[in-house]
Amino acid sequence: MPRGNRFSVRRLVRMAGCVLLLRSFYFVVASQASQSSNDQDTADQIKGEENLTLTSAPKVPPPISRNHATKVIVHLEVTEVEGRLADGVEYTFWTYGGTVPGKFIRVREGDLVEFHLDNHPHNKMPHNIDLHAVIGPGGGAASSLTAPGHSSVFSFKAIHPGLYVYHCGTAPVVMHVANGMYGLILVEPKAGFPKVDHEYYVMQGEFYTKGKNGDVGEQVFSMEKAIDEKPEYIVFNGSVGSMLGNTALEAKAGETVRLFVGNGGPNLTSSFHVIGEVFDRAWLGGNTTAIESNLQTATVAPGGSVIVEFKVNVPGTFVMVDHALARAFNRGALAQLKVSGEEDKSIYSGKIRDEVYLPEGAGIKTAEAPGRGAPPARSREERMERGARVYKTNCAACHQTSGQGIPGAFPPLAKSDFLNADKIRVIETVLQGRQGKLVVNGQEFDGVMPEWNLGDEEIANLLTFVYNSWGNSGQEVSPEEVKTHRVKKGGSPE
Amino acid sequence: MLCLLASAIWAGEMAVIPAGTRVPFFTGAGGDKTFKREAVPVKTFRMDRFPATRDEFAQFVKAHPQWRKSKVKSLYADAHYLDDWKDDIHFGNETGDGQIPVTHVSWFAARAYCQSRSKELPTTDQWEYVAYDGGRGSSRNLDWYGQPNPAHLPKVTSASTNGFGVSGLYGLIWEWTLDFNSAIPTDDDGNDQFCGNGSLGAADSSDYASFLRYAFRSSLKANFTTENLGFRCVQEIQP
Repeated sequence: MPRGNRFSVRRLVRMAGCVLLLRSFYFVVASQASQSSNDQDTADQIKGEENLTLTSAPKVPPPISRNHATKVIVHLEVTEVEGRLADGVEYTFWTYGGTVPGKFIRVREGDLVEFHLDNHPHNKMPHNIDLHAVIGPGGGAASSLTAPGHSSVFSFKAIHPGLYVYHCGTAPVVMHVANGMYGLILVEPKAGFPKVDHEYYVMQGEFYTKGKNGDVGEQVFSMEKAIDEKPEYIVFNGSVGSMLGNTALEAKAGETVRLFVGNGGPNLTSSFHVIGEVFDRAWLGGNTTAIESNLQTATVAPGGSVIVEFKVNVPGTFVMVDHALARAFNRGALAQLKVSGEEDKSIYSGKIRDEVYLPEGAGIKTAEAPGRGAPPARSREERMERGARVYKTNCAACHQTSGQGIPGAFPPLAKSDFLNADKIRVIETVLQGRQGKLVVNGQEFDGVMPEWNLGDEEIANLLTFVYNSWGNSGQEVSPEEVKTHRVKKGGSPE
Repeated sequence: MLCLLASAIWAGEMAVIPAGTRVPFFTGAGGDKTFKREAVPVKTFRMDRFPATRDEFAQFVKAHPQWRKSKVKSLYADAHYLDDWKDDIHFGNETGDGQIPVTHVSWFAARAYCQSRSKELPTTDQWEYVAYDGGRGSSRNLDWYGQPNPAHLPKVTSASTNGFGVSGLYGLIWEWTLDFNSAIPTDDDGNDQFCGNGSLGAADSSDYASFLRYAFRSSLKANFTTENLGFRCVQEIQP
């Protein structure tokens, strides 16, 4: 490619020579092109050699500061180890580097990678590796089938920048991958990534155990469940709770976080989501040349990846999930990012108050009194008598049997200035309920009274009883008055 | 009682495997990805009831010094050959060590051992025919394959015995076969099969135990030795 560039630059210069009027302009362009082409040449030349340091999740190797390609030597050791899958649940993991997911490999676009797959002598199985960043048969798998106690060596050029999954490709591949043989290799673009405060490595995978989720003891692989694609565990970084509590990922409010997210599968597509965050930037599929912004949930295919980046504005615990939620709630796909620091109420207030919710729907106002309306009272005495019963049933629990109320909680109805000052306001209070600050007889109250689903006749009886008891003004309330205000409030807004 | 005794004497250290047929797990050698479900005949033969033990192998290296670990040519055995032995003819001190299967042996060494007893390594077809156990199904059990190697191998007599009277074909160690390196088909470029296409040309894509055995064999070269790879021998039965 650099050769081709130089050729086209020469042609450009020749063209410039022909077009005399534009000659000087073309020379500027041509000399610039030539300059960048030379840079390209230099950058693509392999200079030096470096033994690569790999990291275990959730750690990521530091960004690459080199501005040229080099030969990097990678040693990845396969071990078969017993470990914790969940509390009380042990499993034999097949690993790249002793952990699930396998070690994170970070190289630079253009690097020549000399890859050593070391199969530990204590292992039982042969293994190989298919790196999706490799252009060649099997992504390296064709050259790396390795017996226990042996190493395979092959090399490849990291041509395409991006975040790639690697995994074992030895038959039966489903079992090798389901036992934990996957990881990520980042081919960092030449220009690098924007600087962030934290980079973390998170990888999802499924485990197919013979025992059900939660069955304690040593669990073994179930081929039947794997073929049916029905895992017992779906987890981040190799076990249930790998990043919870004191192993949660950490950041401070105001910092930026970049997650390198992979999905080892072997079978299920992840819907990666961080509860309470929006990804400011996302490179879907790990493709570093296409940026999405303001993404809520990233689809991560098995054998695929995504890079997400976000600023943590406010403190709190942010939960990472596979948003196919039974996987998070029941199968383990749940992790935490703990953000410390100062609150910013302008971004998130926290809970301001708790309020009793009085749904509109429950109080649909009708012009007619509810169907259970009492028969009309024939006398003031009858109205008082019936009103006393309504009071006892509906009101006495709060306002007390003698209308004295409870200081600080329920306003008194006895000798009540609020009551006696405005009959209509009282009718409306019974019809619609009332909430908020209220001063009665010089005492302040801040509570809630629900609306009462009573008929016009019943409310007339009740209020007549209240107004004619406990030293109140002795007014009478008629069913017609109640109806008038019910219609007024319910039918047309004031 | 007499009958049992007679049967044991008759069988000796080897079990007689009756003739039968077998559908090979792979038929697609040479890039042919189409599986042909054709049963092939298996002639009757004798097979060692147990894998070769360290005691037996120690006798062999005493009699054949060229197979001692200080003498063996690297062409015939890699650097891990008899790795766990104290010296050329002693394997260890612990009680019962002589009865555990010999491992860390190469194909060349295993074959020389069998030939020294007028025997041969079993072909993959012979081995799998016995492991398949007349369809009893235990050859498909994955549990052993999913467990790490034990720190100390158990005695050969501790393993389960199958319907042919043969013990330890699975659940104990891997075993060499005569044609281990032609057991898995390769593609047109001579590459081993891997990933999804590993299932092409296989008799049963849900027989993971067979895939594990075939993949293991195909990872080997004849001078390789591993911690859990031993062998047993077979013998032709002349008609």
